[in-house]
Amino acid sequence: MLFCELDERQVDALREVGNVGAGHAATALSQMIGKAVTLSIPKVEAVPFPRVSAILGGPESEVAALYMKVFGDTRGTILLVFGPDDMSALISLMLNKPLSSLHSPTPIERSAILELGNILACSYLNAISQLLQISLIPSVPSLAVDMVGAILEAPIIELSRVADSALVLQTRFEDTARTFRGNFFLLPDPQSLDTMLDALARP
Amino acid sequence: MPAPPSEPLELSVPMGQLVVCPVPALLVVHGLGSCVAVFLHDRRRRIGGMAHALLPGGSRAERERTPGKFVASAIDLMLRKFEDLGVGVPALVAKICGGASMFLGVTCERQKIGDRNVRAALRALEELRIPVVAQDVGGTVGRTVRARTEDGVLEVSSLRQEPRTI
Repeated sequence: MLFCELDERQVDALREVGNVGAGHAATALSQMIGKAVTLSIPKVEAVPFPRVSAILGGPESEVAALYMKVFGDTRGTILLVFGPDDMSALISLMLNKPLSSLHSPTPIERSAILELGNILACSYLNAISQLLQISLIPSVPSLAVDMVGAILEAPIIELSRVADSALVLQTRFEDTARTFRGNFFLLPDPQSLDTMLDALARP
Repeated sequence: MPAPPSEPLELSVPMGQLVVCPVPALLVVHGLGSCVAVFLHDRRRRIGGMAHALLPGGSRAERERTPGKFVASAIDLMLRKFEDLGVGVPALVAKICGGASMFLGVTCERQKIGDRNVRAALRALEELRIPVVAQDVGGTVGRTVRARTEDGVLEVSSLRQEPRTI
């Protein structure tokens, strides 16, 4: 089963899983920064690899990305992608002061960025693993701020021998003042996707 | 009076694909990370070709199905296209770019895939006796590569850095 063959019902099921995960992540983030933050997943879609960079603004646009591997009962890769401004604003919100520089963050800023990745990835994975009764463990995140095309090559190389598209969960963060946008890419290997969809299809 | 110089044809080379172009053109790889871009050039006839390969090697079946994905089979396919234009291996020189490590510290990122791609390209070109006359490889930054088929000059640009030519 490839992502591009997903039907509407399966996409709905995946969005539901995503929204449960987003709810968990919002709770964790809100507690951490002491302010109410809501997260939602307005859109879930399967995107062929060559089109992924286009939905992120083209291969040369600058983004901040967190890359994690998933271990456990199923395998895959997670990529969290933010526009540089959105990432800077989110981190400023977490630390309650402006970010010095996204390209050379201070140690505390860097750990806030990685923590953001941890919170989001763990929340999503928890939602999926509770629903499917499987164990999913994310690796420590790694940060890169560079061109979209260059950043996407890492996970695509990992999967290019077995898959041709990625599952993209658009993620919207809102606090009272403004809205941030990020994209959560889940790239399970195809076998893992079958496991997920089988479990989702159960009544 | 000579006609004013027109903008050269610009051809994008996506991941896993390759282009060999016998007319003046810019062959462009946008946002190259740990993949490797191999540029081959016939100086005399001003013909250039570019491959954007993902992986250092694959099984025979994989290489036959998608030759552009793998370094050595991508180079072989480019050579066949040069041959169709009447260009033999001895006429060619090579330049290579890419092979970065974008995410340091992900221990499980396939160990240094960028380095392995570069090594695979150098090895394949050495076996073919095609001299590698310039390279801009490794490091931790993405690159956009623009190759002029007319004179074989490559412009390499990264974010927050001055563009360089090789």
